[in-house]
Amino acid sequence: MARRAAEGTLRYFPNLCNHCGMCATVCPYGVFAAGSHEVRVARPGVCIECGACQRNCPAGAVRVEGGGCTAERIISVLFASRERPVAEQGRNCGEGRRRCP
Amino acid sequence: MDGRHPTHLGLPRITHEMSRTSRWDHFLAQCGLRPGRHQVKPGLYALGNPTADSPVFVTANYTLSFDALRSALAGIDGYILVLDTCGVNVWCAAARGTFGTEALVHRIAVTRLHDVVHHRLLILPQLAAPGVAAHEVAARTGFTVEYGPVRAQDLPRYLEARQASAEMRRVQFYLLDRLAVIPATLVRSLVPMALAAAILYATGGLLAAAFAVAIVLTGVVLYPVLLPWLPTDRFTAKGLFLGGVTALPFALAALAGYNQSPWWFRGGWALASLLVLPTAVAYLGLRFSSATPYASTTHVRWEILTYVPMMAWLAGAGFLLIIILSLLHVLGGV
Repeated sequence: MARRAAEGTLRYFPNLCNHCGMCATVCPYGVFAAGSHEVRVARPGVCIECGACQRNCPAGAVRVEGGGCTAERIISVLFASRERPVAEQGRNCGEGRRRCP
Repeated sequence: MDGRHPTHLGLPRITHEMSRTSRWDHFLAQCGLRPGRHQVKPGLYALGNPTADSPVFVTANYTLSFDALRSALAGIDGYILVLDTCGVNVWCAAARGTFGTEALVHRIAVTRLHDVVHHRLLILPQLAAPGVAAHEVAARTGFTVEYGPVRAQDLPRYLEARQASAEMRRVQFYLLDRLAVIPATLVRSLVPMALAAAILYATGGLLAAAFAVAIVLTGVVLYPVLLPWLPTDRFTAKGLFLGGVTALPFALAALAGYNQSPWWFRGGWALASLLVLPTAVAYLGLRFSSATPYASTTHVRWEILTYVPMMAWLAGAGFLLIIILSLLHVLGGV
């Protein structure tokens, strides 16, 4: 699954980075390699655009479009014409739909 | 005093043991049955006999998430803070924002967590990170967020070393994980499959009915099992390949069978199976990509744009062929 047919949306801005290494901690695919004085985007090809790095970067040095679990996003892409992405609807959450306030 | 903070006494107490009711609930959840009913009441729980210095673990109110956490914490005293994610697992809830900064800050406030524990540390599952901004939680509540391992089962090792190894930080999708996805999809497919098989049996006989079953078994069972070994790194192409392989025996059987029918009729059925089965399996494969942890939105959007129009044409032609052949068989007596 390493190679991607399309380029991903992950962008890293080294000039904003404060080297806290949080992006490397939260990434489930080891995309970032964090040393004490530098952060590298070591494996951009395996990024799944879950958005964990962006959300947890206190310096705003990482940006990525997407966010969250794959089911959520892919179903919203597959059925984009029929319904709004579930993530946008906020409270409308799939299996819990009927019980959720 | 036994060292316990008095506020603990009001908290619901839980253990790491799974009751029969819990196991039954897990079974139903795994099969996709009674959706939305697999929920734990949000709030703060006391696991074992915690003191004011015991660790606080945060999770979703999906029973599978909550129970995976408490069973992993056998022999550990602590607190479990359950957020209201409407019965959705941690990763998906993080995507939806229900397992988010706001929800965590709110739950800390309503459970008066500041009064329950002396320390200011929360252990969150790593997969909550798409929803929770650790630095914002710290700024707003004073609680430091520590991201534990991806899997709850690694928590004891994590607590010992106080850090997660690279391996604990990675999402994996082993055979067992892929098998776990099958029952829910299979249960959902049973009714449409039975309907299609019944219709095809009436128009095309046993072989045609088996065709409908083969689509579902290939797309829903074989595809997830064989996923890493199927050629290419594209979900759709993997499905086209696997569906093509499954379609071959059907095409050959169609050519060999119907001895009394003309060659074009047999060839028509063979062609129809070669058109429909691969595209149907490719579609199911594309759907399955949403259950895998390694599909990026960009990649799947690219696959949809690249493959879906072609798949629609192929499947459309195949279905049209099936309808024509069935009508000829039923009405024309071919």
